[in-house]
Amino acid sequence: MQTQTFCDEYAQVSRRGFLASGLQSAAALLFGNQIAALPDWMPRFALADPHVGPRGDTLVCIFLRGGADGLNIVVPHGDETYYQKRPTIGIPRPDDNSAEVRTVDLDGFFGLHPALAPLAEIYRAGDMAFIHATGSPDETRSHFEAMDLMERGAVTGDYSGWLARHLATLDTGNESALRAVGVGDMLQASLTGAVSATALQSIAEYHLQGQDERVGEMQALLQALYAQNEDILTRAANQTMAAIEMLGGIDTEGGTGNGRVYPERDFGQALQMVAHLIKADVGVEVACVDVGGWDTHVAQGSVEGVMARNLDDVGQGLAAFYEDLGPQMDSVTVVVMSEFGRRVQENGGLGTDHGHGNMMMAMGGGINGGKVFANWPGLHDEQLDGPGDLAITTDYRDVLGSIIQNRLNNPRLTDIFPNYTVNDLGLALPNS
Amino acid sequence: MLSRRDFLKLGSVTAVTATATACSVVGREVAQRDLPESLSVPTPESGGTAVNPIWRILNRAGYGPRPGDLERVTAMGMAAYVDEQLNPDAIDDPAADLIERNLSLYHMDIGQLTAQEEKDAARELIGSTIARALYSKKQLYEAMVEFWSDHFNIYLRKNQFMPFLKIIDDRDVIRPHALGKFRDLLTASAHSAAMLVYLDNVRNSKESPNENYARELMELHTLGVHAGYTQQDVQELARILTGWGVRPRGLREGRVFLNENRHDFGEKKFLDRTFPAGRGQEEIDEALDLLAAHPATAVFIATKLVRRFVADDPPASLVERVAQTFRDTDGDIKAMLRLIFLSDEFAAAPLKLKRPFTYMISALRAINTDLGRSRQIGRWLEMLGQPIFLWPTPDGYPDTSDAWAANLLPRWNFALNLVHNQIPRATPPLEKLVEVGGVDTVDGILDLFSGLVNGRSLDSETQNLFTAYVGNGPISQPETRQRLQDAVALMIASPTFQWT
Repeated sequence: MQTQTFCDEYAQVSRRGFLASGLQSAAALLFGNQIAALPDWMPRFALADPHVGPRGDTLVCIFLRGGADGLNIVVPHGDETYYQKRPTIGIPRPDDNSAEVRTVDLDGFFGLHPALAPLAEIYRAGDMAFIHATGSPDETRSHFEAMDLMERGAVTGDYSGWLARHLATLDTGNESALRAVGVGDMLQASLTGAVSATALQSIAEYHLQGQDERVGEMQALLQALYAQNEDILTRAANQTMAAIEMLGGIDTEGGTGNGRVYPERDFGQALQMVAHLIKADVGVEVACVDVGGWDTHVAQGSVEGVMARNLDDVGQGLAAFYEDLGPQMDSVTVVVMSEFGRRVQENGGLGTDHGHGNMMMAMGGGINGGKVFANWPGLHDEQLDGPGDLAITTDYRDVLGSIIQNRLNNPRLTDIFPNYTVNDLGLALPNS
Repeated sequence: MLSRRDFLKLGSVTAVTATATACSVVGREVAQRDLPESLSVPTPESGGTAVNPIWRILNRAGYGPRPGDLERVTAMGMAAYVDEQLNPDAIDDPAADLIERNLSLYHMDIGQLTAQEEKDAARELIGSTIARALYSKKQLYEAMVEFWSDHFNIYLRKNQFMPFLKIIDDRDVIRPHALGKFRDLLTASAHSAAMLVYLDNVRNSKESPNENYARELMELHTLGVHAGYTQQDVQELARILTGWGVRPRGLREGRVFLNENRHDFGEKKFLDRTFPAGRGQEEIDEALDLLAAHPATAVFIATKLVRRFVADDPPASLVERVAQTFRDTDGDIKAMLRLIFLSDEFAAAPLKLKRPFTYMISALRAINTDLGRSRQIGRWLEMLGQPIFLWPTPDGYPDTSDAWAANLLPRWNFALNLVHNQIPRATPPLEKLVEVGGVDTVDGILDLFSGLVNGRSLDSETQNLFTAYVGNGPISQPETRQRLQDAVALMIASPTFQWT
């Protein structure tokens, strides 16, 4: 009964919302006022009216927090200098018979850390690509500065995140309360300004927290209270109720169906949650997932150790996600990034210090996979950046921009990455 | 009011719990004693639906009324209350005094501070800010501390020194000048190591200029982005500020100084004025004077104050008068605030959504919650979306209703968890309130809490909704009591309590 009332109510509000925004757009045409064009619950970016078009892929954006050591993730085993500078922590060559566990070769020059072996299969299937010597121009080597810059996607001026601007500049007609989801208790900075984004810690816990037998009644009472006056909270309350409703209908028990299970730690569980959302078709266009533990100044290990364990989660998690979604991966793109890479030379503590250039990963049916995209700058001293770091030859915005344009159907790259011209890498196949 | 004897007793409690945070010491002792001897219960006849300006000032120029506050301020009248709040030093405020005395890192110099743990610094900064908002009687003062902490935003996670530097900034910049002259506040901020590190002026040298602080000093601290200055002005101000920083090795010392080796002594032209060659500190002072006295600064500060306290879309007439007061009084913050709170625009102000911090503190205050050393309070602030001192960019937390409308579920769940005693060390004395309120029926209890939460009785439609939810059982029944608790939580979750 409560559900019924609520659905009717929601439908009414949606229609009202639709009409209202139509009127506001007309007003904008007359007065040319960009701000007036946005309904008052929308973020007020100084952006022109959004591009109207069909939805593209669901984007899953994974951020490795702490500066992941890309040189030990996508290993340049064909570069002799790598082994000279990393005598202890380097990952053995694919053909190094003296080592039991070795780099998994990708293309004769680059290979994967052995903990990522499951990803090599996806790579060979053509659904995964790696990008190397990539990153942001930030030179501070400060986690916060570098993350901030990368997530804002802009050097100055705009305090919103790049994903928020993507959402604001693309009108797909999708009014879902779950259009953008940040996994965790606070929205990722890339979603800053995306007012309708939902921070979600757990599907199962996105509900009113009260006694089970009274929760339905409480929700109905709240619904009635928020319906008394028509204002921005009415809409927000309806969105929240819709999200509770949608999430409550998702079966979170189901496994992958393919025998591969998600790792038990946070990252695996977060990916499984995103997969549940995608399979339930609740309107998710963007999901952000964070993974910590990459700031490996000391004892990062080599084929085994702290970092290998983290990578094991990443490899198993992404592979489980890929198998879990199966054919649906044709309309899902996953991107993996980190704020900066780490120093080429291993340090005295058998770890690595903050560096510059790094790797990125892209996975999905629409990714031009089976390739490593890299304009390799080399690892000799004179080829390095700053205090001895991998130089950047591919801006991270080229990677994201290629995906936004080709897979997310959003041509408004100059709003998303102001003062930057995206160079399409051919990384993502045009969505047709 | 605390008697002198109670106060001394508090002192001894303090001594044995020296490691506890401000909250934990003050909470139990002050909150329970502060409850009035009786509580007024509004009746339908006594409550109109229009929001009354006294209710508004308690919620906007402070963190919402505690039980009894509405009656007290109504009795003294708006003008007297504004006068009281604008002279915080004259307010008898033992809770705030106690919090102040219990601070430990706040009393250290930078050398002592950096020997501490960062997380202790962050905890004392955040914990004492929550405790003061919750317990201090200087409510407008605390609200202005929050206002300026946004205006001169500093991000605690900028680097590992920031929690220490921000404590100093809070102590030496924001708090001493929150109700003073804008020029003094601006100068203090420009001498804040936290600010110069946060906005990278420590990296600004003649060889490699960094415009970050110069830009924000104009755009966010003084003139506002539409004031008509140019990129050339930004670059020239950056040149004026070259070498103005914190000693390189002295980051631990944290002393702000002009490094003449890094300063550009050439001639500059800033805001149509020629700054002659060969000057150091004097030209920085002159630039700050110029910015503080610029007509655009008066308008920019007036606009932000009116937006915070009156309306998301600040009425131009009031902004103009406040800006004029800024110019007439050399940026006297008290004079501007008095004008705002006693204006017709304030009396007729439209609704404004509480920001999450205000929402949380006002919920705690409304039902006289006793807050101990609760780690979960910080987590709730994060879930609600406003973990204080953690806004990364220099514009401060947003100050318009639409920015905060999307994240309702954590507000609802905070209310439910609070009222049902599910937040460890945050204990609302519901039974005690009912006892003091002298009510013993479902309707009486609903009226009592509507008075505490909404400042008036429920309108009949809402009353019916709540009565239907609670039912007609005797209040001795566990089911009825549970439902009454739900009802109190839902009042705090309801839209009426989200708006001020």
